[in-house]
Amino acid sequence: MKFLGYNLKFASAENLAEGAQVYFKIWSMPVTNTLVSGLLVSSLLIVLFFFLTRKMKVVPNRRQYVAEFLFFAAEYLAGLSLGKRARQFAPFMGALFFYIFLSNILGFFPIPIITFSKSLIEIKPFLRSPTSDLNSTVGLALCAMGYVTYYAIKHQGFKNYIKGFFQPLFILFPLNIIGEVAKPFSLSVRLFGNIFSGMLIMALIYKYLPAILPSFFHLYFDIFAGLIQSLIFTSLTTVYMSFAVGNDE
Amino acid sequence: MDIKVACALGASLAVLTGLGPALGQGYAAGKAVEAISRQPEAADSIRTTMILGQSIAETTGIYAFVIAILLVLKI
Repeated sequence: MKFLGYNLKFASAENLAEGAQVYFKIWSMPVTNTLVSGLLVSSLLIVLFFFLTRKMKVVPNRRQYVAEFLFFAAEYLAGLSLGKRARQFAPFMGALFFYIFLSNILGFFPIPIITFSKSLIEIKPFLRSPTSDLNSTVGLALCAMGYVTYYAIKHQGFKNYIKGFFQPLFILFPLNIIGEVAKPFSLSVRLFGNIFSGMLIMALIYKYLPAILPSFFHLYFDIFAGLIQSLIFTSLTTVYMSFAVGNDE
Repeated sequence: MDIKVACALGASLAVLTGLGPALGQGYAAGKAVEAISRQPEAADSIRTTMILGQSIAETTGIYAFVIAILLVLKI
């Protein structure tokens, strides 16, 4: 496409499928657009919650009411399978939920990055959902399972935790190990696959049906699927946590 | 056979896995409708359980998708 004598080049579905785009490198660590948007999401959350929880009082004002509402939502979510122990784990589950949800709906905000070079203008999306990169979902899943394992060892004692691997029969040890490894694997791949496939399908829809229709698909693939996937990730983590520590005492 | 042709064939075969999650999700939705018609007051918790179960049933389809993407990127 021509524009004022320059060649215009837009990002295509093939570009998106190739993976995250590397902006620059710090030593040998590549800084990609998923890393940048992940840091953006977490700084946004930190600023938001810092702002919401200043000067807390017994009688809440409007700001504090929003913070309390979000906290009780996280506590309800954790309480679905953790029962009375919900309050202890609500902060972690809430952080997981809000981070994943914000990351999932990031594809909804079209901020372009425009690079100029000789007779060529390239237009690419600046933000890319951090959860559409396998690195960040594996990081999230390992983080969640590490937390669960820490509380399992703390609650049951190290000896009983190791003994749990030999539980019904001694021969089942390898199967139990595989089951333990499969948890973070399936958590991370499920989140990655859903968000990445949603992004690819959206790109294909924009390629072939560029008018009106994409808005409805955005509702499904970004808002609905993003909400459901963050809900699934968090509630599966609470279910694993309830296996580890029991739901009542 | 050329390796690229084999990759394309493998990717299109991996898409057939979509049958499994589709059947499972449809079955879960049908059962949820039965349960809601029997006990309309429990509709909320049935809906959340159904959505949780369905998205876990989706996992095998997602594995197939990841394999298909890996194969397609080799072409």
